[in-house]
Amino acid sequence: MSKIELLAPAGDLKRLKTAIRYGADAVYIGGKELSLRSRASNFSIEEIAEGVRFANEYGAKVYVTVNMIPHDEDFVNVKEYLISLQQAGVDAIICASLHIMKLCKEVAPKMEVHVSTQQTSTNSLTVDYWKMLGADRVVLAREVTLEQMRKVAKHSSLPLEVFIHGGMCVNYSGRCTLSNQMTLRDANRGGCAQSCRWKYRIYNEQNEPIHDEDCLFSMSSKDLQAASVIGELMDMGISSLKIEGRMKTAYYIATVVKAYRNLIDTYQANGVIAQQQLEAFQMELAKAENRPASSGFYYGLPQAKDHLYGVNGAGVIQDFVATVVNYDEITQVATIQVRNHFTVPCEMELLSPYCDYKSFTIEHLTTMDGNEVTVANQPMQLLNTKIPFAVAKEDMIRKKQREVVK
Amino acid sequence: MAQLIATVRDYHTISKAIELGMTGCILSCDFFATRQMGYFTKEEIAQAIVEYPELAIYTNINRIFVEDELLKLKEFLLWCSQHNLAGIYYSDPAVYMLAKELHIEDRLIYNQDTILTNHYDIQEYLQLGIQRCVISREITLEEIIAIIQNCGSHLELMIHGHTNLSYSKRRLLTNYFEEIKKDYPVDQIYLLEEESRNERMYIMQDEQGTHIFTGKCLQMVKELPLFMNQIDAVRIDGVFMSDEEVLDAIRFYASIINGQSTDEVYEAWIEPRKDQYHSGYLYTKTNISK
Repeated sequence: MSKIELLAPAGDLKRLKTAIRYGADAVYIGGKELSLRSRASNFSIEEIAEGVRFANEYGAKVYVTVNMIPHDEDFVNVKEYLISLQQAGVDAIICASLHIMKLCKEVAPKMEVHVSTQQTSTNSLTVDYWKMLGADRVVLAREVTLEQMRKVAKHSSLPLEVFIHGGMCVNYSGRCTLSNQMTLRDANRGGCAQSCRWKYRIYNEQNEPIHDEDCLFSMSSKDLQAASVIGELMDMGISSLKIEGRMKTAYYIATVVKAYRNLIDTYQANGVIAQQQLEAFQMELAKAENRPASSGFYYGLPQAKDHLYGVNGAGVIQDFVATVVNYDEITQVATIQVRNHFTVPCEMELLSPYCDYKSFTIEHLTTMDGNEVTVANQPMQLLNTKIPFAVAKEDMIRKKQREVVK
Repeated sequence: MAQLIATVRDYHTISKAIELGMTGCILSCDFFATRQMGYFTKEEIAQAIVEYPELAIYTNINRIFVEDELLKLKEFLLWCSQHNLAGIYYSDPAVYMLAKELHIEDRLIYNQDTILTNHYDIQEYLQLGIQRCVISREITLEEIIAIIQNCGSHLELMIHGHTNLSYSKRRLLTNYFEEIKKDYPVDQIYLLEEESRNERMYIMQDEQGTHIFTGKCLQMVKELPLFMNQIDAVRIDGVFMSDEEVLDAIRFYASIINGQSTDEVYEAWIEPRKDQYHSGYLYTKTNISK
């Protein structure tokens, strides 16, 4: 079994470092030019270079998304931008424009070109097409089922990358302009307003309403969670497993990357994932969910249960309560920075790149002045508490959840 | 002079459309095409090629193919290669690869609705040896003109019809009706209205997924003379339009191509019902950032 790549998103340097520390083999980030996700805090060239240096220390790779569907005006300085990405040490660009792909091969040939999912690649002939045009990898459309993917992989002339986790466009990526129509924000140039997740009334041709006022029509998809197919994806020879979410938090990235890292390593070592283990991984992934998840298209066309009706946006995860700032091994006192409200005593769990999940209870909290408090309710406040085992700077602390599989 | 291409609902409309000025017609087969005004058998397409030798007859292969469907696609392209089609519209690159194998890539017309938004990419696609590219609709008139100036004549533009806004492989109507426990038919046209807006959009579901279209009809009456002598073809897409509306569109656009004043046509045709029409993004620029 060849080693499969775990590819994680990062919206900034902090999240890039988190993704790599927690086990990503590669990260993808947006630069200041030509990238979708305009709200993600995209990287300057200097930050990209710093990210590459950090990644290289861990043997990880950095890919930059150059994936907007450009208009003529967007091509200013593209050549210079590609050269600067290569100089920064970037391993590959993820690209949707054929011209940019070819330009990259010409002016920055050390970088690989990965064909973005915006190009809706769903079969092996399409992969051959991109190979003919000089691409090095193809990101398959999320609409490909496991059964079809196996057949594509069997005949594929290029390495394949597939999505395994995160938000899903309800439409074929790149083939939706609802946002353009409804808000004048260009969905294919980073301005997507997610109009698909809004609520709609629906009428027949006689203009009679046929919707349910208490449950309006929506195109909102549940997020993807593909833990149950990772083994099969590895067996069929997929090269890279991609987590969506350049705008997600460091906590989300840490949780999801660590869970898939463990899952992949377990399958790599044993060739099998027991049902109980799978449920544990799924439970772990559920801790980072801010939207319910489903298996997307892996087992066939999504059904009604795979959609979200009556929900507009994503929820907020409040189980992540603090990060470790400092730890004194002699006194076992940790200084923590508060991220979400909690009261003591509270059963906690440590999320760390250096050890397995560990449980403990925070019994007491004191301010930096030494005053005891029972509630942590000021975001970014520094507090001291005792933790009965060694923890490291930037380890994350979350409330321990009841163990229920969604 | 640009060819005036249109879609029709059924076979017997073709002769009337030719009389009114249609010089090209898209006749597409079920399975290989989606979002069409009408569907035709291979036999009907072959018959039309023989019966209307002056008419340029095209077929649309805008399906997105999965691995298991490639053999069926190959057989259909082989059939296309044996018939005197003026062109084959496609959006999946698999069509290109198989057409190349059959040495008919020069008949292909690349029509990926949203991706042909700049002259750099269009030049690259034209270099693949295809017949022409269809310019995307999400760009301004100024951008369209720049593309024409940089890419030459092997271009096509949709000038009239309801425009496709999104394409999902999911059965969104089936799923919603199941959710609200209603047994409505899914093979009918419905209208969507966002809860806080008045504008309605068409939604339809077929075997290949769910499609949303603008409620208003795109029209380019006044703009047509700006490019009708520079590009190979302009197209009227009749989906969600009645036969009469399509025939009217053919008649009016043909009259402009034949020299009638656009002001006169606009006055007679669009002005009385201008609330039903829009200009797309011709004069409205979309934003990159939020």
